[in-house]
Amino acid sequence: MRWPVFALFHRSLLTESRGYGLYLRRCAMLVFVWFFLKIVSDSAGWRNAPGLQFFQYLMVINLVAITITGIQQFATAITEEKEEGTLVLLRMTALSPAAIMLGKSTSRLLLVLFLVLAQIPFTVLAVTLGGISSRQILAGYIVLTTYTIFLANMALFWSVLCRRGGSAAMLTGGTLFAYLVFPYWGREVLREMVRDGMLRKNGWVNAYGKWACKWLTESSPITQAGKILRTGYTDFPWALQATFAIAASVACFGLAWLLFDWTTRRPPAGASGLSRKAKKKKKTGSSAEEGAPRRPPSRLHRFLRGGRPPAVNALAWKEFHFGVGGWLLFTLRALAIFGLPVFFELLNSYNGSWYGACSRFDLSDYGEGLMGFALFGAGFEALFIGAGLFGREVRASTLQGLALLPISTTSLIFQKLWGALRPMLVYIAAVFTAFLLIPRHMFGDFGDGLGEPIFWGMIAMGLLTVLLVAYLSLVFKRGALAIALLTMFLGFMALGMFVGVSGGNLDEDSVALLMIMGGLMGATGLAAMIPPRLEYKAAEG
Amino acid sequence: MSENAQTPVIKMERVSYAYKKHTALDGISFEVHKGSIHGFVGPNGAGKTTSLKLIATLLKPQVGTIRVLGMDIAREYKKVRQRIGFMPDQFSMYRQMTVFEYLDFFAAAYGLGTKERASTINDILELTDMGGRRDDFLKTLSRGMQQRVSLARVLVNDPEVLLLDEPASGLDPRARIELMEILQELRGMGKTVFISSHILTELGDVCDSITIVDRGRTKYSGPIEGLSADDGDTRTFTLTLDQPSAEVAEALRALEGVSDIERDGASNSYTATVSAESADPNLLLRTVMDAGGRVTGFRSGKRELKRAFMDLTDPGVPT
Repeated sequence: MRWPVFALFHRSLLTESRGYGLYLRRCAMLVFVWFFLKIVSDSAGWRNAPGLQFFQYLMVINLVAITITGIQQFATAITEEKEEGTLVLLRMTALSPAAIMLGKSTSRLLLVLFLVLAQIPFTVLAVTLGGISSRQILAGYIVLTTYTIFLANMALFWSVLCRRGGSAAMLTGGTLFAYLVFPYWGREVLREMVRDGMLRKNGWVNAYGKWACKWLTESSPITQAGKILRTGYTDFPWALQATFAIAASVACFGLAWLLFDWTTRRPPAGASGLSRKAKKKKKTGSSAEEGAPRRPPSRLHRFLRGGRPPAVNALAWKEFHFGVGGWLLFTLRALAIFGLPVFFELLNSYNGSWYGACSRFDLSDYGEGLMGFALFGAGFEALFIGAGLFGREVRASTLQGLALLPISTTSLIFQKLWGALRPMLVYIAAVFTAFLLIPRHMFGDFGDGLGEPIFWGMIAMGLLTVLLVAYLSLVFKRGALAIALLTMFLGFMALGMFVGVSGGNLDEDSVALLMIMGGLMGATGLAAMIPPRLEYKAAEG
Repeated sequence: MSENAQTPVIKMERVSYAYKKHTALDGISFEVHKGSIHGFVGPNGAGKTTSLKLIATLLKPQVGTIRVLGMDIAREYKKVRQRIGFMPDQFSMYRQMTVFEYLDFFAAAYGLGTKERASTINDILELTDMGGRRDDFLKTLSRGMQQRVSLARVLVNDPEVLLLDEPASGLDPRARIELMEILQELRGMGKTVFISSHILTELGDVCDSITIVDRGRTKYSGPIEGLSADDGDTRTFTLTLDQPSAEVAEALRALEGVSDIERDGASNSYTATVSAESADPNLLLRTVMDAGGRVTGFRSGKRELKRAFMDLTDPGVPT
């Protein structure tokens, strides 16, 4: 490669194309295209616009796949070099910041784009199925392409700014959530505020707020995809969404480029706040003697760090205090789960009092909110526990030390689980409290819900997802959560298709039974596969 | 099998291990005796780390048997783990813990009670000279200090056998010497140390016995003296001069029974390989002085560990 600016880019493309993952993803995509084609062609006799239906499936799957894998893949482009300590080696070569960003991020972007664009010849078949024009297909791919470019560059910005891949992925996900959801929500909030008299209808806050929300909503890929997938779409394929995505991408790349030097000059990922403070003190000449030992930790510090491990279940102690945040995060979790519904209920009662409807804090409403927060929080937390249970050890190369302990692998796993699942006590307590607060007739509804097979089907699927994340964290160093979520999403899509093809022969209970059986069989299989995989990974070192 | 004084602490018998198509160990056998420091040497890819992982019970032998302290590692792996300590070639630490928390956690994981742990950890920190760092976070320590903590972690369960994979790699000369001193101290405490290393000179200084492996096979296993002894037919003598002299080299080469003269330019020394029946140190010295050389050092040469290693192992990279 003659130009250093493309050297890393070229190498990254070569490396990626040598891995089997790329071909696996392409094959999976082809299988899904074929699957969707088969379903819509089979149902062409009784369905209007099968081509449009086929393209709708493809758009949904592409948008979800790009979002899930994009957040993980793009956000770790630079952070993985920081975590491995190899960024400094890249900086020592003739590679400029732009070359490093191009090499690390743009190569991944291109590979994802190739994956999306490779579908075009097959999707053109949708036109022959009927109900969709080639203009709609072109507009659809413009949405997917520009959205991918936007996501890659936004994630690159956070990747340059953050020191850890997890933080970069969370911030990318958070920004994306704000971009896709807040404009819709903001319009509703403004409308409510005007109705309650909190804002003047002709005031500048309402006017600019509405304009900003409308503009952001128009630029959203979800809105644009919705427009394209309507029958009779005849607009120009390049819309405001595409222009916004490209402009935002350029801005994100430019900002990342400007900040690159500053962010990569900071201490490496491992350096603690304490060592940074020490460095700062040393600069100002107020440091204690270099190499002097630290003061012994205070009693509060020792309590927050868990005191001393017990001789029984020491691994569970380690997992709780150094894996899932210990007492400090336990308390914060409890405050958030029990406190947030109080906040929303107070907000509700305040709004009610504003227009004189109701001003009392309603305990049963609080109970409902608490139940919602507890169930959502528990599901969310379970996924992260699954991803971190072994993933943290694999990333820190500490699995070998644990595997050498005089206990069996099964015992090791159970001890770790015992420690990692302790935060779940908060959610269990919240569900229990919610049951006490919810009125009896509502309680009856919940009781009925527990008797529904679909509820247990969802539980089985949740269990399968958590075990899949845990297993994949022993296979991939990074991205296990994203891959597991995507796999489950594709599985649900396939199940939905299967139900669709059955032409109404499968009722809800049969689907639930399928979910329970599939979920339990998959979970059992994964539970059996985890111990040998753990031993293999530990021996690998 | 019961354990007695004669039982080797580690015994590998015709052990083979393959990773898919690559054979890492091909019928390797050796023994390690109680209270010794046993060096384990071999070029890259010789099978050292695989052997250590097998002895440490992380892998199971595909062919052959391994006994540690008289126990079969495949069947009694939990008991074996309780009595050994393994220090891998790369650091693996919980960087957010302090030195004390890290050691305390591992001691608890080995089932030690709170009081017992405190005294054990204090003793270990004193031995490894890390007492002043007990409340430091692991991520703030230098490589040398992390190496010491890693060694301290291996000692928390008071193991009888220590398995150390390249413990001195990446350490500065002073840290290496100090590490070797700690190992000698541990031998004095009756522990058996099994150490793999590339640094042959240091092994030569501390080891009682040694095993050399190459391409998954044992090339030598036994006391270190046996390795450095001369061949039966020849002897070597090393003379150090105040300055290099071509005349001296020529005069030595002309002597009867001298088959080779090897010059070490860095130290102005000449190593003469002489047939056993013609070996006469007085004659050699007189010849050098007659040729005008000023002798500053003379050694009746044993084969150096480095030379033995080169002789026993094959050149090139294993395929």
